[in-house]
Amino acid sequence: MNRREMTFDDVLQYVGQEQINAKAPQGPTAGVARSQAGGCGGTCSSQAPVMPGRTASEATMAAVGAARVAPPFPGDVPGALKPEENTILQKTVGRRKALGMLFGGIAAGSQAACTGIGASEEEKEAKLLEWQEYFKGNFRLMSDEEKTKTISRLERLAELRQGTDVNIKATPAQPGVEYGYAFNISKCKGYRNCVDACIKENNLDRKTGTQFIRIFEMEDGEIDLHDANADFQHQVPAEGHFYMGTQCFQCANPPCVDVCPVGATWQEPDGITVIDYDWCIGCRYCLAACPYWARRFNWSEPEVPAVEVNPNQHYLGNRSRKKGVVEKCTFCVQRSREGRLPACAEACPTGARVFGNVLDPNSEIRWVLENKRVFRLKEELGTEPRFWYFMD
Amino acid sequence: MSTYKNRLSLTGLVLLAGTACGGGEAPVIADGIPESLEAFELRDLESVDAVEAVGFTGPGDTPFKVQQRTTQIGAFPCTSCHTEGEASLASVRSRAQRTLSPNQAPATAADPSALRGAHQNIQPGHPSTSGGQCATCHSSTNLEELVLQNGTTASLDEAYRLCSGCHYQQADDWAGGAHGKRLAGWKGERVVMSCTQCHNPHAPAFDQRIPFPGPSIPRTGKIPTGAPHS
Repeated sequence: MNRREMTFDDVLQYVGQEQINAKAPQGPTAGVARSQAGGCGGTCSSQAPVMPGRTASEATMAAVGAARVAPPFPGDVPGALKPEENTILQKTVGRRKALGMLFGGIAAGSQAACTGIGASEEEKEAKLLEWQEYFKGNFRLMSDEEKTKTISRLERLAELRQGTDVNIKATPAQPGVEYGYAFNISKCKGYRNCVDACIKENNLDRKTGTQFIRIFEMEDGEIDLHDANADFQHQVPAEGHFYMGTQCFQCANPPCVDVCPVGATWQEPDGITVIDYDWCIGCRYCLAACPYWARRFNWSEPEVPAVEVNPNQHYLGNRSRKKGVVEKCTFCVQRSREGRLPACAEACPTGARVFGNVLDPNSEIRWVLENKRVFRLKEELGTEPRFWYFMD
Repeated sequence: MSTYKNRLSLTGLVLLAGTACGGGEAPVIADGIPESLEAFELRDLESVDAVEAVGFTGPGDTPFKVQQRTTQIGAFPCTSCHTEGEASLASVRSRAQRTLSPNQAPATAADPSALRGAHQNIQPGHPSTSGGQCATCHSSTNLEELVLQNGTTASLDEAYRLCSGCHYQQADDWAGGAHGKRLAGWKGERVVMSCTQCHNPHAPAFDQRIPFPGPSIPRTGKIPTGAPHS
């Protein structure tokens, strides 16, 4: 990552405010040169919800002024700047952090401006949290403290925006664990209990009916998924058919990770390929790269009724997603890292799904791999799925 | 105890198609696998009664536990209806004398008449090779025991010992982990379900049913336009 260190004065330069460096700013009226702003101009005005009645330039100047003069930052808001942090003028900070603080200031200034014309305290808090969220870093580069902060912001935002009381974890991969999954095509009956459990566990969008798992109905003797039917809706198991489930296979050589231009998706040490939903830019290269159609894109804001939200969440797993980002199966990272089975494996009424640690020689998954006849889907592609099919 | 247990006990297995069981009412207690296990809800091991497996070891020769069945069967112990001692099969208590098993679900407990004709839904037929007589598997002298192929008896918690007498391949897979279901998680103590937790011993094949809804976009990026998508 490009983490060029900048001073606060550099930041001011960055937004084209050289003039005010010379003279101390005098509040909002000092803002005249904003229209000349360089790098940030377009982005700011498109991303920043500039409050009615104020131009972006005024808001920026208010923020800059505020930062230099002293403390109109809302110190009572969680995560907001505290007065002692204003010594930033003499410190070096990352570009992202500096911009975040600037824009945090814009938000604060804007809020100050529109207090009394409708925005409630909660709305203000949510807005500020969203600002701070917007400028956070990639999950892999966060310190533990930053992780704690972003999680508490996300939990608070879920409360403010969705009215849900969620518990987001960032449990890391367990040492000595690599997950493997086996699917018994002799046992699956096509009941789709796994699909139902997956939707509920992973807070999948109910509006568009997102599903991570597909169960293919295959004719006996057939092995080509092209001729199979994934949207059967009749009494199952149907005579003369078998059923084959697909989902994300958590490949050991994942093409989806290779193509991501921003490093928003990666493979964890325990083999699970995860997505930082706040880093994803929605380019969907990974959807094109995946040979198993395992990834899903949120074309619209995902909707889950508040009462149906699963509150046991993981930052890289089933926390709420937003419009324009990609999501996928994570072997229920929020469950598997705590020693539990993925929801699909636990819900399967036929015992067709076997899950475990392939590094443990006494695990069930190892027993299956060593004693049953197994194969993987499109093995010739070299993706090395961690998902095997087997039969009795 | 979990709702899971209650649900299973509702559909709980009842013993023996006793000839003495009277009553013309339609049987209320049904055998068979539950319609939906709602199983992805946490099943912590503390709520599961389990005993050490007899005669089987798991992967790497490690011992494992099997979920108990006797704590789930709706009308267990049998003496809640049948008299104790020998020839108990033919002797049924009068209705007034029947007691309710602690396993029974609240709905059944509220209406003891639900137990009338309890075994009448059992269609003998499995195993088909021996004509599926009651005494093929059940002890005719002690209702609460199974009789193994070699003549020894086993508890109802050890149904796998009886089943494995014929289904040895499945039993090997079950002990290894390729058949059946493990409870609670992939890590820690291994507790698996017994054969009769999923299979109705009187009709072991799984039933047909309507599946949960399928995907709105089954295979490709195309959105179905009303016409059946195939």
